[in-house]
Amino acid sequence: MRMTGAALRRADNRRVLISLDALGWTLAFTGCQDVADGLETILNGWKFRRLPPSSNARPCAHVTKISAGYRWRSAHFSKPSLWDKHPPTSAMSAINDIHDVFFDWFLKKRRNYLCLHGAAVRFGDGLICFPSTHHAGKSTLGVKLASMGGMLYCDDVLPIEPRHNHGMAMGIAPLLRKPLSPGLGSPFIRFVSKRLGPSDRRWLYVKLKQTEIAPFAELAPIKMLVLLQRKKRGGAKLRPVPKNEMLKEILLQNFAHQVPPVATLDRLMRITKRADCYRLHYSRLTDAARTIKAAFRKRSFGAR
Amino acid sequence: MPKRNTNQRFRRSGGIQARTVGGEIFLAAPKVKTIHHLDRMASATWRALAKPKSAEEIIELFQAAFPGTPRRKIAKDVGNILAFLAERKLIVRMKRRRPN
Repeated sequence: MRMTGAALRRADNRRVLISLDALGWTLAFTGCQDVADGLETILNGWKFRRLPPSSNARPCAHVTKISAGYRWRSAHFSKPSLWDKHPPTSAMSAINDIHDVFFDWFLKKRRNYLCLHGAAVRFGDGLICFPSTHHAGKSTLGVKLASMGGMLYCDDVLPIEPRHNHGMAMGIAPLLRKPLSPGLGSPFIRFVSKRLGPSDRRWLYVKLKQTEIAPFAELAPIKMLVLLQRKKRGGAKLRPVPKNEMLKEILLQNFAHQVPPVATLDRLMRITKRADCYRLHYSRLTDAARTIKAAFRKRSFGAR
Repeated sequence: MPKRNTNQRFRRSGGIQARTVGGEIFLAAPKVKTIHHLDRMASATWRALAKPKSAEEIIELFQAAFPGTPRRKIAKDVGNILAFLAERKLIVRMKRRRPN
């Protein structure tokens, strides 16, 4: 069946309503079903549900495709921070901005959670957390560890729940910079190319399988904290980091400022005291991933 | 630049919570909602301020602990640390009592 121009325009301007039941959020999209589809692709365990057009649910935010890009409307929920200065021009950047604003919404809802900038991967019953350091390759290493039997918890933001200070999975697909360097190795590039999610010229979501990414809200204790440091050449080396240095780093990476400072300090201190703290110097991804995995395994056996 | 008054006494601000990790002190200031990390020398200054002290008294303490370090250097460092702590409201300058 062929659609006429008018029918195509009508289909494009259709309003799509989605519900993320895990957090009770509803979003509306007009003329940009591709953004809603993209969100469905990157969210794991968020209980994504499409609502019928007749639904009278009130959306937290309404995204509309317009000739200049995308328009955002929301009464009580914050807008992506860059939306006014640099409004998205592609579905991919709209998805990315919405994914970013979800962290703000999440913290508004869970006011006693801390949130660390960083990546985390679960092996067995514990997490290895990589606090954010600029351009150190935490997302790439997270995906690599997921390809080696780990469960990715996050590649950018790790919420910390208030009861036991365990890390919580965000269930959002990791985002890698394009192009992937051949230096990452052909097994890694093959692994990623079999899991292509939404992408544009500069960025690519990796659609991990259910055995490779933990669903939203899964919890695990942080057992290792590892600062990443790239070097030009040579094998990967894991060196212990003093607890005070690690605490300083994770204090800087916490962006949940609604928790009172004394509680923040005490909770991050507890995490640092419990975890093994290292700095990983590496030049090759595979080498780094093997070193981390071996150290974590040794730790787990040593703890028995 | 105005000359610093080294006899001015300082005390810790109320409500500040200190935690020691690896010999260094971390301070949480609930009123201004900030957390600060103090390096070794700032940590030592904070410890010295368990009781109110002037910059001069702290300089004396440090000079006794590091006799090989020139007094001028110690005085400069202590001055900077006290200014840093005061600016962040972690310590306060004590009011002088007027003589009767």
